[in-house]
Amino acid sequence: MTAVDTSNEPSRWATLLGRVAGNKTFFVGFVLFIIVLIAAIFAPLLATYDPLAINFDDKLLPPSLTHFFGTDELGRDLYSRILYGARTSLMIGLMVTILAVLIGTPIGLIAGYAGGRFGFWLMRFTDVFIAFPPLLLPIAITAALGQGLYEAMIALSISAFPWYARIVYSESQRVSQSLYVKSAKASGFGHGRILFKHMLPNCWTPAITQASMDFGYTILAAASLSFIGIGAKEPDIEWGLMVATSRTKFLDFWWVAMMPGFAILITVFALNLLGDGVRDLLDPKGDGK
Amino acid sequence: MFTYVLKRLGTMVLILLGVLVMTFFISRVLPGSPVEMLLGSRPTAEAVARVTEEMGLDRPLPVQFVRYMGEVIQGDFGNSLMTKRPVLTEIGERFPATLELVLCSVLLVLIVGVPLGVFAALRQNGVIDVVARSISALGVAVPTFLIAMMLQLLFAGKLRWLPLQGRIDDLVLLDHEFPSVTGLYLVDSALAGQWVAFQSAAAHLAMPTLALSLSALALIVRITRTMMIEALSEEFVTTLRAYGLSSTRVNFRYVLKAAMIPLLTVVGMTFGYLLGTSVVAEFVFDWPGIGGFIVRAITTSDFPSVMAITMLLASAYLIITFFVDMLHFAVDPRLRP
Amino acid sequence: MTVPAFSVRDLRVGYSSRRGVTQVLHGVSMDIAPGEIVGMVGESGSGKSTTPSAALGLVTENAIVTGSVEMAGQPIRLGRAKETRQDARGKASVIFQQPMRAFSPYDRLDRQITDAIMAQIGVSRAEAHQKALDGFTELKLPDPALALRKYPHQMSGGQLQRAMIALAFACKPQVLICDEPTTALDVTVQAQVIHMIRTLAEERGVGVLFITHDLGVVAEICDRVYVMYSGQIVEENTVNAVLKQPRHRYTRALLNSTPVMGEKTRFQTIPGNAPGAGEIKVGCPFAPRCQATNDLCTTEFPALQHQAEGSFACHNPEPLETV
Repeated sequence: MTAVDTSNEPSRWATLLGRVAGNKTFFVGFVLFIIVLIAAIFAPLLATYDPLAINFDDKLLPPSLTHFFGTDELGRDLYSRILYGARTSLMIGLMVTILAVLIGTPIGLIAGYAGGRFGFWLMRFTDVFIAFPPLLLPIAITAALGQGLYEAMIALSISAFPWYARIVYSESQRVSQSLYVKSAKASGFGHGRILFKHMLPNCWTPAITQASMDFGYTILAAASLSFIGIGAKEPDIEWGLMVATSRTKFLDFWWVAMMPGFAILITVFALNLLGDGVRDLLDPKGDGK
Repeated sequence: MFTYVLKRLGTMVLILLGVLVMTFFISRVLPGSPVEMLLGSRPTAEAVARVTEEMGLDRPLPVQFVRYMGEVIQGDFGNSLMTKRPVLTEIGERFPATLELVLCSVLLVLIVGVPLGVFAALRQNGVIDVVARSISALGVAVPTFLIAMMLQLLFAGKLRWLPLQGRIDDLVLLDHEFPSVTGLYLVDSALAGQWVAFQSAAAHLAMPTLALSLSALALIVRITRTMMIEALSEEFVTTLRAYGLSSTRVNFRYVLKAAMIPLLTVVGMTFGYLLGTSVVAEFVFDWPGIGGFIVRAITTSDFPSVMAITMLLASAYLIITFFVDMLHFAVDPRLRP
Repeated sequence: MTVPAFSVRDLRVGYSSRRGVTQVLHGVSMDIAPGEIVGMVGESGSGKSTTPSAALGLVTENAIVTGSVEMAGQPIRLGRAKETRQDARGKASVIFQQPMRAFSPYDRLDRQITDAIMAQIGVSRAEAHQKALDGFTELKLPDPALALRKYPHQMSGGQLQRAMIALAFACKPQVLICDEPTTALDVTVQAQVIHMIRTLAEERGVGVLFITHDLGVVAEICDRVYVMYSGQIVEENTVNAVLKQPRHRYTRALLNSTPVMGEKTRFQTIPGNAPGAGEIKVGCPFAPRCQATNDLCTTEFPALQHQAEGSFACHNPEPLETV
C-alpha cells in the first residue's frame, strides 16, 4: 500500500471556507449577518443623523434621499436609529446567550459527571423552567426586577440557561461513561481537572450549536418584550421598542413600524441561517434539540 | 403501563410544585420590596406594616411558602391592583377569549401545516417542498407583533376588509345577542343561529389567528417534513414496496402513521408555544384575553395578576403535556404490552 | 433443461449524483434453477445486496440499471424501478434481515401481510387472510389466528422471521430472495429458520438466492454459491467445491478467516479493506490485499473463466489438488 500523499491537501481553514461558500444558505446568512454587524459596529460612522435628535418639524416623513427610511413620530431619523438599534439587539443576543451558556454548561457538566440522583434532580429542576410557555418566565422575572433592558437580559438568561444545562447534561452523562474519562479517573486525576480538561472539550459542542441557533430567537424575544413594554424603554434604541411607539400612527405611516420590524426580521433570519450552518458544520447528523 | 401513568402523574405534580416554588421565589424573594409589589407604588407606611402583618411577610420563608401554597390551592391569588377584584375572577372572565384564539390557531396550524409538511417530504425539492421550507425559514424569524401589524396594515388599513382590533363588534353584540354556552363566540353564536354575530366574530378572529399561527406553522411544517422523511426511510417501507404495494398506499396508509405518532408530542408543545405567544398577539389586537391582561398588568405594575397568570398558564401547559403523553398510549401500538 | 427460476445476465448498477455516476455492480450473471438454493457471499459493499435489489426494483431513484433479468422465463424491465417492481410482482418474494424492522411496528401483522399478499397475487382480502393463516400454521407459529392479530413487537425475532417466511411463500413465488435472514437471530433459532426455508423451497420448486456473509450457513443449506467481491462475481461453484477446493484467492482468504469449531488454528483476518466503488481502476480489485499476485494482477482485469464445473475470475488461481 502506498502512503497517502498529504502535501497537497488544503489547509483546515481553506476547507472550512470552502464549506462556508459551498453551503448556500449559510453563505446568505453569513452575508446578511456581516451587514448587520457592520451596521452595529460602525453605527456612529454610518448614521446620517443623531438617533436621539427630536425634531417635530420633520416628524413622520416618508423615506427619501435625506432620510433613507423616513422619520418617526418625534422626527427622529429612522435609518440612524435602526443602525444603533443593531448594536442593542446584537449586544442583547450575545450577552444573554453567553450568560446562559456560562451558567448552564457547568451545571450540566457536573450533574452528568456526578451522575445518579444529581442528574435526576437536575432534570426535574430544569423541567420546572421548561414548563413555562415562552416569554412568560421573562415577563414574570422582569416584572419582579423592574423594567429595563438589563433586567430583561437577566430574565432572558435565567429562562434560557436550563436548556443548556440539559443539553450539556445528556452529553456529559455519555462522556463520563467513556473509556477516556474512566481511565483518567483511574489515573488519579482530580475531579476538577477531569471536568475541565477531559469532559468539557467533549461536551461543549452541542451547547455551542444550540447557542448559535438560539441567538436569533433571543433577539426576537427581547424585541417582543420591549414591544409589550418591558425591557427597553426610552431613550434606549431598540427595534421592538421602535415598533411599539409607532403603533399609534403606523396605519397611515407604515415605515415607522415596518422599517424596524424588517430590521428584526432580516437579523433574526440571518442568524437562523447562520445557526443552521454552524449546526451542519459541527453536528451534521444532528440530534440536537 | 399503569405504573408509568402513576410515575408520570407524580412527576407532573412535582414539577407543578416546582412551578409554585419558582413563582413564590419570583414574587417574594426576587423583588427589592415584595410588599410594594403587592400593594402598588408608594404605599403608606401603615399600609406596608398592615399588609406585612396580614400576609406574614415578616415570617421565615418556608412558613411563607406554606401559606402561599395554601392560598393557591384555595384559588386565592390576591386582588388585581388594577381592577381591585380577585385575580382569579379576572382570569376566569378572560379565559374563553384566549381559549378561542388558541384553539383556532392550533386548528389552522395542524390543518395547513401538517399536509404541507407531508407533501413537502413526499416530493422533496419540488415546488411544495421549496414553499414549505421557505415558510419554515421565514416564519420563525418574523416577530409575531410584526406580522400582526402587517396584517393590520393590509387588511384593516388599506383594504378595510377586516376590523382592526377587538373580538366582536360591540353594536353587533347589542343587536344580535346570543347566550354564552361555551364562552367561544364562534360556537355560541352558531348555536343560537345568530349569523351576523358569527360573521363578526369570525372576521375579528381572522387576523389574530393568522398572526399567532405563523411561527408555530413554520415549526410544524418543518418538523412534519422531517418526521415524514425519517418515516420514509424505515425498513418496512422497502418490504411493502417489495411486495408490490403502490407508493400511494405505502405512503398514506403506513408511512403517515409512523410520522404522526411523534408529531403528537409536538402538538402538545405547540399549545404551550401558542399560549406564550398569545401575549403579544392579544396585545396588538386588543384581544380581551389573558395575554392582553397580563401586558396591561405589567405596565400598571399589577404584580399579583402577573404572577397568578404566569403560574396558571404554566400549570395549564403542564396538564396539556400530561394529557398528550397519555394520548400516546391510545395511539402508539408499540406501547401495548 | 428447465427454465431457470431466476436468470441474470450482465447486470450493472450505477448511482448518479452531482459528481457523476458511480458504478457499484460490474456485470453480474447468474442462474438459479427451480428448487435450487444458491448462496451469495461477500463483504459489505461487495454487491451481494445490490444484485437482488436491482433485480427487484428496490433501488433508489438515482440508480441506473442495465443488463437483463428473467424470472421463470419472463423478462423483467430494468429501466425504471417502478417497472421492475411491476414485472416482478407475483414472481419474487423477499425475506429481509431484521424482521422487527421489516414489518411496520405500527400495524398488526394480519393487516400488513394480507395487504402484501393481495398486492402480490391479486386475491381478495378474505383469501389472502386464509393464505396467511395457512402459512402461519405451516411455519408452526403457536396459535396462528391469534398471532396474526399481534403487533410485531409482541413476537420474538424468530417468530417474526417465520411470519415473514409464511408471507413469502404464501405469494407462490418462483424466486425467493433471502437477504441475510438469520444474521439478526439467535443462533438457536437460526438453524430452524434456514431449514424451514430449505424444506419449503424444495417442496415447491422455488429458486432461492440466499445472501449471507456467513460461510457456515452456506455450507448448511446451499447447493451452489457465488462469491462476490467489489461488485462482481469472483468465483462460482457447488458448495462442496468452493469449500474444499476454492480457486479464487479471496475465497480461500474468506475460508481461512472463518473459525472452525474444534480446530485450533490461528484466527486469520484479511488485511486491509475492500475498495470503495470506483477506487480500483486497473487490474484485479482484490490485488492490494492478495498474497499471491503475479504481474497480470495489477495490470489486467481478470475475466470470469468458465470451467467444466464452476468459474472463477483470477489470474493466479489456487492450483487444483490432484489426489
